[in-house]
Amino acid sequence: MVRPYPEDVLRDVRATLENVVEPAVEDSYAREQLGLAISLIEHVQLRIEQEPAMLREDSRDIVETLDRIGLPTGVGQAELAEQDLASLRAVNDRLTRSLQEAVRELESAVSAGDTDASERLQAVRALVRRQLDRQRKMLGRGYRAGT
Amino acid sequence: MSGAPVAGLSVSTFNAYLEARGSKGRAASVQRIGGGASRETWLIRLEQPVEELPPEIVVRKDTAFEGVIPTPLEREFTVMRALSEHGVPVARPFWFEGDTSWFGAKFYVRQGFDGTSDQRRFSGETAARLSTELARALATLHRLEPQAIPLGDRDVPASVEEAALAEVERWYRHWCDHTIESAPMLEEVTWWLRRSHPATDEDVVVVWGDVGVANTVCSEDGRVLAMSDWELASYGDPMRDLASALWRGVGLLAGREHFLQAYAAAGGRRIDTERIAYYDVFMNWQVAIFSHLSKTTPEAEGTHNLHPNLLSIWAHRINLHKAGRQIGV
Repeated sequence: MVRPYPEDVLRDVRATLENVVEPAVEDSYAREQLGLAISLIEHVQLRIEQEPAMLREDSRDIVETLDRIGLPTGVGQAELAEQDLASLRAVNDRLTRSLQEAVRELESAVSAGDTDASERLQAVRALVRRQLDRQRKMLGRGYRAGT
Repeated sequence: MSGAPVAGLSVSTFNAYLEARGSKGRAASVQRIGGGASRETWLIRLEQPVEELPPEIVVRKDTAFEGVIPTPLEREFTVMRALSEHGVPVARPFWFEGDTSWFGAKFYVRQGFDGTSDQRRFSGETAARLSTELARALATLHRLEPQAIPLGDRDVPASVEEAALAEVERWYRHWCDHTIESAPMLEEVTWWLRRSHPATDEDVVVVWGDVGVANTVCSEDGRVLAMSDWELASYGDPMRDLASALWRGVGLLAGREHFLQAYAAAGGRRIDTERIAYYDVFMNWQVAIFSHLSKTTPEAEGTHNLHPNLLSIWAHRINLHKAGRQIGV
């Protein structure tokens, strides 16, 4: 293994920026950008720690929910069990696209008066909500400098 | 301009521009102003005021990828010029430059002010004054005949509802054309916005679209010197501006009711809280769209501004989350 690991490096870079560089920077634009950089490092730290587990949980949730309401995704257990991050992201991207399509179809059907679609839409909405909740855990404090 | 392209804004390059413009003004300092991801803003202090320019001027410049808001910079300039001719407090616009060889992108030059856009500087009396002043400025804007303020190629819609739906479809199309990521919650909110606009017989007005202290230059004693950031201006529902103001925290100055009552007292349009609630959802949805798009184009790389990264990661999801909660998802 090659130490220090990326997470160790990020921790130290962030600490140096916060404790050494930030107090010494006077230019307001540079200070703002520095605050953003520190927030982004925090986000990457959280991401390294949480993203693989979050993607697995999210993909499994999408497959189970869409299967339950009769909208199969074509993604099997083998793909859900992928280990490397690139594969996990690719599978989750595909599934999120399917979920988006499901929203479009069901909303369109509900607008046309389809009551069966209305029940299935409730399940999809709950899933959409869970998906955003999962993503939020990885955001970090963000926005030190406001919008 | 002849010769090699100028890479960026500096005292010497800006002085070369002033000279080419025939101005006697000379820059003493050039400073980038923070905040915002849509376009670059630079404050120029002149060595001394000259006949055609005040001591402080501002350069508003496209980024290399033209900005995340689908509004041409030139339209922002012409809107400000029209507004300044109709008594709305805006910075006086001087020149628009479509020649990108000066500073690498299109830009315009406008009046600068000795003021602040930091809401945290106001409390007590000055905060209440600013709340009243912003409400008055909005009421003034909403009394204008929409036809007096041309918005590029847009026609004035026949009704507020038509304007609202056109705006939803315009932004949704922009999202679909530029996104690199699926966003199921954004779909959900889009459908809600399509079917939920409350009916009204209110007249269509000119809408600022991005109301807040952060987009206003204020004096320290709480007066409005200029309303800025007109890239979201459109024809539409006056309640959209009230929602926008409250969304951006104007209600924290002296209370939501203080602001709304000041608007009504200043001759603003009839207040409709149901429509304000609709546009609160719209604001979350719209910010979710343009904040995400702020980092999705390859051209956005290397702009030396980290703001778009954080907007995309943070504001996109936080605002979708808020909108989802509002519509009961």
